[in-house]
Amino acid sequence: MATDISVIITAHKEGELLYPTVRSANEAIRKLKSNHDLNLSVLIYLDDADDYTKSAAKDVAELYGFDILEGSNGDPGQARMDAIQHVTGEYIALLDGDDLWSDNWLQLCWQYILDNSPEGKYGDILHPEYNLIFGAHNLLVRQGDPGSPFYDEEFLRLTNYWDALCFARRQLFLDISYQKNDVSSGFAHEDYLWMCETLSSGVSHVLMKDAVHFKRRRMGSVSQFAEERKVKVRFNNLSLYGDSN
Amino acid sequence: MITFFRRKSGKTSEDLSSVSNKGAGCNENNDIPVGNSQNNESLPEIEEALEGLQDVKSESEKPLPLFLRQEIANKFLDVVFYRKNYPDLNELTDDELTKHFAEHGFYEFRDPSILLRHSEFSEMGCGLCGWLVEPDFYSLPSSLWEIAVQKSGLHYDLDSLTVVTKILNVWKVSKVYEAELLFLIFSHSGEVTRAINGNLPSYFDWASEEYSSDVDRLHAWFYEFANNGTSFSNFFDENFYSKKYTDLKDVNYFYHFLAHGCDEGRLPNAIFCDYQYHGSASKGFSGFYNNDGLIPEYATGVNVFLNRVCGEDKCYEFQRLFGKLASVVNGKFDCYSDFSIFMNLFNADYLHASIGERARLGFDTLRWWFSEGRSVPFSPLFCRSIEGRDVSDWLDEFVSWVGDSNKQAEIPCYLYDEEFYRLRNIDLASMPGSAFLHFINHGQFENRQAHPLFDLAWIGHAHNTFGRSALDYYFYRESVGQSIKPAPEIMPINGGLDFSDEQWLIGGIQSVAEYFYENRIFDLSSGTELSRVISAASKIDPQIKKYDPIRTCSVMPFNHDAWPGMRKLADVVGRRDILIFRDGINFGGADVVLKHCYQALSETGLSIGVVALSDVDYQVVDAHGISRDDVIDLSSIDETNRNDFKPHLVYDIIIGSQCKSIFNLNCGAAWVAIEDYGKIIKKRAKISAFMFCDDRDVYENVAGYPARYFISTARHLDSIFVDSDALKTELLKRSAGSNNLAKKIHVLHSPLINSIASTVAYVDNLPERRSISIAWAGRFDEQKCPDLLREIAIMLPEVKFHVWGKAVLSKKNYNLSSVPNIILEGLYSVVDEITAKECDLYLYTSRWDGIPTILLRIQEQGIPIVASDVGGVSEAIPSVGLVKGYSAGEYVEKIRYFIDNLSDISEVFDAYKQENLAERTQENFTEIILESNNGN
Repeated sequence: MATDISVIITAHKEGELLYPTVRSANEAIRKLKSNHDLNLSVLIYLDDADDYTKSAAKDVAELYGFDILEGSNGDPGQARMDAIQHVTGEYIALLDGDDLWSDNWLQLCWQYILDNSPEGKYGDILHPEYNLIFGAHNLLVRQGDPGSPFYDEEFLRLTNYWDALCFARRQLFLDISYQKNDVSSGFAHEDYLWMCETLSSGVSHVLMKDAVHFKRRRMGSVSQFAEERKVKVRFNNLSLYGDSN
Repeated sequence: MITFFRRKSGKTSEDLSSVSNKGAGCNENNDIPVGNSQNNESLPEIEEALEGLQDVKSESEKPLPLFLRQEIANKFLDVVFYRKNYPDLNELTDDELTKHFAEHGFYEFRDPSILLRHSEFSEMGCGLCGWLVEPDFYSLPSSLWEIAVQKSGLHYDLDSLTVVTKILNVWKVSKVYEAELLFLIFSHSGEVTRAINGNLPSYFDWASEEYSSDVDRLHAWFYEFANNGTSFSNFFDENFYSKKYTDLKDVNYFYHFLAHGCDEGRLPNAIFCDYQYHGSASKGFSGFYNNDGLIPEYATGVNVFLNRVCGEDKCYEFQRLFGKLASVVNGKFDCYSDFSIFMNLFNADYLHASIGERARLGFDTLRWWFSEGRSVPFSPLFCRSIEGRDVSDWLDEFVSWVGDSNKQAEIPCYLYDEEFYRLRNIDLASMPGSAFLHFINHGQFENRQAHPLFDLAWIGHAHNTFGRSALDYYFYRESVGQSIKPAPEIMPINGGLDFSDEQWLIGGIQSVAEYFYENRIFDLSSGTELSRVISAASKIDPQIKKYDPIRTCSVMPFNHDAWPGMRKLADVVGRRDILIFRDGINFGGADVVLKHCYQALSETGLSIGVVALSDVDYQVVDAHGISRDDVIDLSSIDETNRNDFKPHLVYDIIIGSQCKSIFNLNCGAAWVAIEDYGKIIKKRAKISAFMFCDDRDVYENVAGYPARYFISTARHLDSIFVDSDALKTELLKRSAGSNNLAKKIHVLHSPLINSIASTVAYVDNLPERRSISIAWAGRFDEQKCPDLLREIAIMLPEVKFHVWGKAVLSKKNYNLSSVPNIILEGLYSVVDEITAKECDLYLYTSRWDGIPTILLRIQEQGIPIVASDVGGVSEAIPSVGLVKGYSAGEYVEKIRYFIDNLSDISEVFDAYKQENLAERTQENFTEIILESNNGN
């Protein structure tokens, strides 16, 4: 039986923070399955993970029947791509190892697919409406909504509209892959670049109403953020003024 | 002024001092000393001798007959000011003061009124005497002219001096300063003047066809104004003023307000609120003005409010009316739009009883609003309630709607969220009925937050609201076009959004809130899906709080303050092949280099953009032959004005424009961008930068762009252009003599613009019998040492110093105008103006520099130069002209040496120029720039 959705949880040095992440994913899966007869797989992908994280992953994988795969990419985009290569679901649902989904996330995504039957090879890329940033920060932010009158694609010259967490066809990831960051050359934000490239390829981005991505901001992130100020997204068509062709 | 005559050459310094020591007496040519009170006794005789000397060129040297000085004293002297300003005259009567000014004060450079300052006129080069004798010949001094006209926003060119003169003739006032004060007010804004006396026709309404010129029209208007000047309405309430200020007896209250009361913070009427008035700059009415003229923020508020109340101006953006009301009217009229209307009407009875005049004003304004047939957007909800119905009396309908909606606890305004308000204010959680009334009567004044996107507490903390509520302050700022952030994570909503819908320009936050309300965005009410999923997640991880009163809300794209500016760049910049970055464009030396650089790069035939991150002087742009189409003036985009954005904007412009080469010409933001993103930029464009000289900070530390950025950006730079061997040597020292960097550093000599004139010929052509004079030109800033110039001038009282320049960076007053032998010439347009003064030498006192372009211009003119031996100066003039030290004594010694040996020195200068300056050509400059840009 073909897998409909492959859930990929990427982990690195999250340690025990993986527990609430896995639990939130499980709640979302349970809610989805309660309404739809679907075949789902869950893969915890450990990229250069430390021992605490490996241990926690093994712990919850046994409890919930999830798969584990280890890699050594040292790069978030490459880790996601490696994981995507190893799963078979028609759709991919990504989640970072210290974040949480709202329990309605997968249900809303699947309902959207059923209701809209997105056309084309890639369909649409689905995002939760909100990011609730908690921990060392406290912010509820509504992500970019292409359906609102305030949406402006030029905003993407300034910064990213969406977090990496999303729901999309696996084939899209295979054809438009995350590029490896090259911080020493000043390039990072692989997810930001991916959003720009998918937009340039004509793929639509859609917000799932009332879905929330809970993003944990840990201490130390602030200095990390300051350092990130000196890197930029790779050049792409949306970086250019006017006609880019 | 003591006049000193110069011999052709060969005079020793002893000779100089002996002439100087003749003191204040007349010299052999019967030139008359003025400006020294010791000679006052001989003045009448001197005056007689003066007849026929009207062709004396220097107005500051022109003496005045006593009768004229008396006339001036009678007409212009403000005895109150004069007595107060000069305590030694404290005991004199008014008549004695007038006599004193005519006989003594005039020549003692005492100011006759606060508006007629000797120093101001001296800086114009005419002196007060010159101005008074030939007022039509000179423009007003900066204190009047610049403030009154140039900064007023009026675009026509009034001959303001003639206007004031005419005012004096037609106005029945005894003191000129009163006329001038009114003129100032008029000049700042016709609307203000009109509002001062609403019974009078506006100057701008005056039938222009009846008069042949602006001056004549203004003359006639003032005549009318003067004849009716005791009848005031709307703005100045004489009844109020006389009753409130009982200390005033037997005065013309209106004149008192203009001349004194407004500066003393006295209120002109009952409705002029403290916020607009005292809050303007904590200086009362005068706070509306600063040295740069009217403060637009306050002026707009007052003007529009007054005009609106008068009901005269139909042209203003109607939406702003309520913002003005909110800000200007005191007491309970604090809110805006839905808030203000709702609140005002709900509390109308109370308001009318307690502050009747204000309530009447509010109702009158509302009636006016409706009488114009206007509705949206002041209350979109109300408009929806009457949609499709024929409403005969809007005001009655509105009052009725307000009452109904409150009873039904419906949302009265998109910016009020009942559940959010209760959640944020736990003390209100169990309050029966709607909490809206609480917000209206208390919450708004306590800066309580009632909407996720509108954080009143934060606004109150982030701004000085002058004691007003944050709500009032926010809408006041919005109404005058200066939006502020409504919440920490939200940008100023109407700050530059360019949507076609006009309502975005005003009431932007309401529009966003309306969209959010309609689409249930941020709907955290109990029972909503959003609150449910957050609650469910909090059970998984308690760090996620179900409800957190300090949680901030934000929404893309409004979460980034740089977005409005950034989105405009694509259109403003477009595609460019080459970009030159400047902080701003003005008359400085770096801008001369810009001219050469632009000219050199134009040879490529590629498209060029000169990006200026702050103000652009387009006269300089034109003078330097730079096409205005090539100037990318970011100062015209308000939203780009934050320093922390600028490096990002620089990066965006470089990448967005797809340029192939960038040149940083003393642009701070470009330096930061190169430092932070140089390794990325390099992948797309060659990076070149100019470095001119080290600077100094106030502690005398070496500072400036080379000190700050040379090492940290060198790896990213393809070429570094310096203007002197001295700086190249210094930079190489800092890089341990690195060969890698040595290859990148190119000495790029600024070209001569004109052919080189002979210094010998210049000196030979100087008039034979004349006073010694010295030229000095530069910014009145620390670097250029105007204080040293002053000291030198004081030590050489027999020498006349012609000084060109103005302060650009410094706020310090060097008081140059107080030195009698310094003549301030303003700014020069062409260097020929300096040459025309036929000075014996040019003095340069800078404490640090590269190769000053002014010295090259002076060398071209053939004028001998005495200059500080700093930076690359020794590469522009012969060593005979260099002063090693920094003391005035060393300069004076060198100057005297020059004067005594001018013939010999001029030959040295000619030989030097022949040998060292001939290679300074635009062709060589262009070749080096293009070669280095192509070769890397």
